[in-house]
Amino acid sequence: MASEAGSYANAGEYISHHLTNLTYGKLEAGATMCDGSTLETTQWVLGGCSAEFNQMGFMAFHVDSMIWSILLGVIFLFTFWRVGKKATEGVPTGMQNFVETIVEFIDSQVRDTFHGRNPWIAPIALTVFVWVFLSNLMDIIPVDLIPYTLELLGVKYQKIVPSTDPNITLGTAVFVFFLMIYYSFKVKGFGFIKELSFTPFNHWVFVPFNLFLELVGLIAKPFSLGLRLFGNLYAAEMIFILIALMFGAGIFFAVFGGVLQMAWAIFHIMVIPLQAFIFMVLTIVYLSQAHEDH
Amino acid sequence: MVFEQVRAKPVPRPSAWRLVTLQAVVALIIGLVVVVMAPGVWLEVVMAGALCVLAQSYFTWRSLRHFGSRYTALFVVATSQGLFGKWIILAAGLIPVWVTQPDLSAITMLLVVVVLNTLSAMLAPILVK
Repeated sequence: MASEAGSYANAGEYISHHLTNLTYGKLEAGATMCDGSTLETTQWVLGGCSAEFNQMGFMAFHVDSMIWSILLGVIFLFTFWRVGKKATEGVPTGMQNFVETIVEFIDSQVRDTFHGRNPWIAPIALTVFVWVFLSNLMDIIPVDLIPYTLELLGVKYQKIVPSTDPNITLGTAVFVFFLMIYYSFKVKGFGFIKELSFTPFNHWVFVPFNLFLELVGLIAKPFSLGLRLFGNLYAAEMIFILIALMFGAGIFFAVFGGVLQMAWAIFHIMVIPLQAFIFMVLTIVYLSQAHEDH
Repeated sequence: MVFEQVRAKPVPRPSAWRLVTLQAVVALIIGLVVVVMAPGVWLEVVMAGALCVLAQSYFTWRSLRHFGSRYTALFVVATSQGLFGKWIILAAGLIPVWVTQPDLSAITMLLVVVVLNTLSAMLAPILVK
């Protein structure tokens, strides 16, 4: 339970601090700043306390989530690029073996699930799987380690797990949703609208009813991707934070908390790839449905 | 003959419509009780009840649409769509009412939604056959 002053006033403050993103946003003139002063002109600022974050409203960017997401994406791309460049024929070893295993696993999933013809689906599935997996994996790092280190360097807020931020998970889901819509129109053309209008009841009288059913299903797709991932990872992060509270309650609770953290981390090792796998499979299925023309 | 040729039979869909009926009946009972005991909120109960029945009907239809399919991913996806679709219907129904009709009791509507959905979740193992 570390902070600028060495400790938090109470458990609520500790939890709230760990669930707050470092935010860059627009503060309107008249907004109250962290030091109690009033802002004279409208400005874009890096918020310094939750009061400032709350006043930013919709016009705000979670800088930490974006930086960690980009960093993880760069790590993924660089690692796979390096392995691809140095790949050798014969029995693979080390990192090449690991990367080949992942690529073959994704390739077999796409072959089993995707029924159209599109060379982009496997790379998209691979990117989605590895990126979500790496984002989830950040949850294993002790909750105070990086935030406290950065706090010592002057960065007060830091959330290091991008998949615990709905902006990131729903953003990824929206990307898949746009791909779905794009391929639906590309493959089916006007038939996509016809499919929405005449399924399940193939009569013009039922067009409004069919549209209602199908549009709800269509909108549910990005939500089923983004909110499920966010919900699972946010809950897991919350449990890590709640267990970490025990470290400030004496040596007995600290040791017990350590055991609980370890147990939850071991369980969480199963959740991390599972959630990445579900996200990837749903992405492939949705894109497969976008390619199916009846 | 060791093997006898048989024709594949479709897997029968479980009957989940009892849950929808249950929600409709309970909403009606709550509505009648409210008309007598708290007539000020009967409209909220009726609206929330109707919305719940609509959402649950959508979930039942969507999630069971691909039940028994050889392509199991379709069933998983349909169930996921049904689940989120149900809450989208509820949110899209409730939020505009709360925003445009501030006189209506939002808490009553929310309570009816919670009660009806909790009830159907609890009784689902018994009613779905």
